Formats: sequence, structure tokens, C-alpha cells
Amino acid sequence: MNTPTRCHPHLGHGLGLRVDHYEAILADPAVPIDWLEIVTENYLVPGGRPLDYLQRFRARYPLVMHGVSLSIGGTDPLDRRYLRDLRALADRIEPAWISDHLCWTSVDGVQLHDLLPLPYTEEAVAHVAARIGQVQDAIGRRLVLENVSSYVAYHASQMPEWTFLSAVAEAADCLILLDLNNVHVSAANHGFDPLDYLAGLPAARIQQIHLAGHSAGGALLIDTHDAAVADPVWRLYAEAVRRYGAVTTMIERDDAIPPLAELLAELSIARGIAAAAGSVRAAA
Amino acid sequence: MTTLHALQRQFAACLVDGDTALSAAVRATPDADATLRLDVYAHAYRQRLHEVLAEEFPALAATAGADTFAAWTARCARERPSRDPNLRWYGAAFADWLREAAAAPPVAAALAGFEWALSIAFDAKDLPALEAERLAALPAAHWPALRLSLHPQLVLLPAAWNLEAIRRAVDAGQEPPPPTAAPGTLAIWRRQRQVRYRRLDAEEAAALDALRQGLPFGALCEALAGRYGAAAAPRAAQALRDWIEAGWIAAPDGDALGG
Repeated sequence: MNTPTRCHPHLGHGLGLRVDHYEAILADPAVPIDWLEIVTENYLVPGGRPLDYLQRFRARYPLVMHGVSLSIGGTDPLDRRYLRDLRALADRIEPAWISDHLCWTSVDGVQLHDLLPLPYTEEAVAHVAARIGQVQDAIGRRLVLENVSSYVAYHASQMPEWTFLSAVAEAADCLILLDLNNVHVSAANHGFDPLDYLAGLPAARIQQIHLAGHSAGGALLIDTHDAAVADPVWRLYAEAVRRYGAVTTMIERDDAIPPLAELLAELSIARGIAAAAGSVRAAA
Repeated sequence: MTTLHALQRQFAACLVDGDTALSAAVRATPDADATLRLDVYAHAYRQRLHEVLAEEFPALAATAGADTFAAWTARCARERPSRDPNLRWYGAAFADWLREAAAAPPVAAALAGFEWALSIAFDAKDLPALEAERLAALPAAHWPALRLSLHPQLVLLPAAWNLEAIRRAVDAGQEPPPPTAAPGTLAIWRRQRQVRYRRLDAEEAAALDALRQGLPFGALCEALAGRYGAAAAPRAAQALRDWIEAGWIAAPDGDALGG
């Protein structure tokens, strides 16, 4: 077995960078944000304002590149042009790391632009792990993969999601971006205990944590990223930092984006939870 | 085909075509059957494409009306699914689809083409434009032989309708004027990070076309002489200064300006 390590630096507490907050962040050099996560695809463009701003943020913050279209679980060949673009952007901004999602997004050349769930099978573990190896070779970095929210589970699945995620990370020797909102949403939608999920992951591979909001869509919870972090997700965060120690954390908001101050207030809550868990661990 | 590939193909058919075969592979719970669960994805697929197109084509959406625009985006999602991993570029497929396949009026396709050109200009590659100082330093005797190139990012778009007036009104939050015939050429460019556009008058469009064909400045003046006589040269010089100010002229390599 590989020796699991969180090989990338600890960055503290950050935010997902959104256009709505560009000016507010740049206007205040003392804004309490430790680092920023960008959606990679927003900056895979030839030039203009997006790349200008990116350089300005890079001058002030550590950046992490978070992609949505790698399709690591897909069955089409890996998109070599996308990988080249990914590496070119990484060479330009030197991100602390590059992440994407443990899912698939395209098949037969058709891009579905959604983070679609994989069946949790041995076949899928082997398939995904082999592709992660190819990606890590192409981008020259260790990949960080995020668990997605899901609304369907397949009869074909042979193991729980956390076992699948762990098996993929071990087989490919990659790292994990643990989205606690996604754990909460999927737990509600599929009827598992989120604490079993946290207990089932290899702690030393958890490089980063996502916090986000969701909405209730009738019988299912929907991962909408359009609301404040919910109480059950804060409780999961407390459990996660108690269990894993200090993990780089960020708040992800993609819709109904509030003024920056609201997200900073949430970030302050996250810092408080992490600090409290740190004190407990130190005393133990 | 592997089991995984077969499953993914069924999933895509569910999202794009509404095929129901995937239901048999999905676990149902008492509160949420397979159809309800798959509908979350099917709805999100259509909605995501619709939202990105509504953002890229605001004037088209306003002119066509919400229902018609939504019907087009839904049809396009079925008939011309995205082929690029970056959703940023789906507007190109939609503009092509409107032009080639849809039962949309020609003015709708033209408006889509115009708005997509604006979108492309927003984050097109940064390429240097000619700076006025370089031209000012050129001795007058060199002007007639001066050959300049249009900036590669300047788009000169033939337009048969008042597309720019429609977009300007929508950007200003006003009711757009009805589409009316207005044959001519629209210039689209980016300057100081802002996408800009304006209608060219016929003389200016012809002069820019001459420049695009590689004619030297002297030939440009001759072309204008028939219309402006002795005023042709100063008029051409003023036009050139305006174009340089707008960033429409490419920066030549090395000392190519010396002619």
C-alpha cells in the first residue's frame, strides 16, 4: 500500500473566488481570507479580463484550481487538449494544488456539464485509478478529488460511497477533497449515516474540505450552493476537524451570491469550529 | 463496450433524449422513485444549458420572448448537445444551430451571431495594437507606402438588421426596438477590457476593407479621392488616427512600420 500523505501545504480558511466579489476583495488588503479557490474552466480562456484579474489575485493569495470537466470516471479517452490547457494554466499561476470531482461528465463525445455519479464497483475503482495515474502524469502533480452530491444510486454498486472513494484514492495514490455538504446531501438522499462516511475515509489523504449550502427539493436534498452552510453541515465540520485535525477549508457559493461580508462571517464560524477542535485535540 | 460505458450511454440518453431505460438500473426508495431521482438530473441538464445561453444572448432572449427562447434552448439541448468540456463555448453551438437547423427567423440567427461575437471578444487573446506614438514618429514621406493590418481581434460583421440598437437597449434595461432592416457592417472590438461595438458608415467600411486587403495608405487616399477630392488625404489620416485610438490596427512586428 502507498504511504498516504497530505503532501500539499495547509492553507487555512478560504473562499471560492466569484466575479461578484472581485472588487470587494481587491479593495481591502486586510480581508480575512487565507486563500482562494478558482473554478478552473472560468480561466481556460484565451485572454481578457478573467486572466487579468487572476494575475492580480495570484499576486496576493495562494490559489487552488478546482475543475468541473475532467470526467475522471468517464469512458471516453481523456481529453488531451483539456489536460494541456490545465497544465498551461497551472504553469502560469502555480496553484497550491489541482482538484476535480470523482464523477463523470461526458460520454461518446457529448458533454453533459454535470457531476454524474459512478457505480461503486471494483470495475470502476480500477478504471478511475488508472485514469488518475494518466492525469497525474500529464499535469505533473498529485490530483485532489472531491466526492459529489448524488440523487441516484445504482443496483450495480458493490460498496458504500466512502469505501469507493477510499479505494480509488489508495489505488491511485491521490488526495481527497471532502465536501461535507455533499456528504450530508447524499446521506439524506440515500439513507446512510454521514458519520460512517467520515469514519470510513483515510484521514491522511484529506487535503481539503468544502462547505456549502443546499436546498430541499421535495423528497430529496439538492446541492444548490445557493444558501448558507446548514447546521448539520457545521456539525459534520466539527466532527471532521476533530477526526482529521486541521484541514484546509473553504466555503463554496455559486448562486444567490451574497455580499462578501456574509461569506466572511461564515468563514469566521469555520475558523471558530476548527480552533475549538484544535484545542480539544491538543488537550487530549 | 464495458458495463460502465453502457451505463453512461444510458444516462446520456436519459438526459438528452428523455430515454427511460436507465430507470431499471437505479435504486428507488419509498419517498423517491427512480423517475423522480433521474428528473433531478434531467432538469438540471436543461436548466444549466438554458441559463448559460440566456446569459450569452440577452438581446435574443428579450426579442424572441421568454417562451420562444426557452423552447429553442430546450430543442438545442436535444438536437445539438455540447461537445466542448468548457460550457463557456456552448454559445457557438447554439448560434450555429439557430442558423442551420431551427425554425427561427433569420433575424434571430443574425442576432445570435452578433451576440456570440461580443462574447468571443470579451476574453479573446490579448494581442498588441499599434500605438499612436509609433505612427507619429514616421516621416510624412513614408505614409503613402505605409501598409497596416487590422487588429486580428477586430470583427467586421455584415448585418442586415438593427442588431446593435436591440442589444444596446437590452443592456440599458430598456424595451428593445423591433427588428428592422438596416443593411451595413458592425465593428466589434475590445478596448481597455471593455467589449465595444458600433455601426460603420459605408465609407469607413470600404476603407477598412481596403486595409484588410493589404492596400497601402496611399491607395486608401486614392480610393477616397473620388468622393472627397483634396480632402481625401486628411480625411483618411483622421480615420486612421481614430482606428488607432480604438485599437483597430495591429502592432507591426519589429520595424515593419518603417515601410
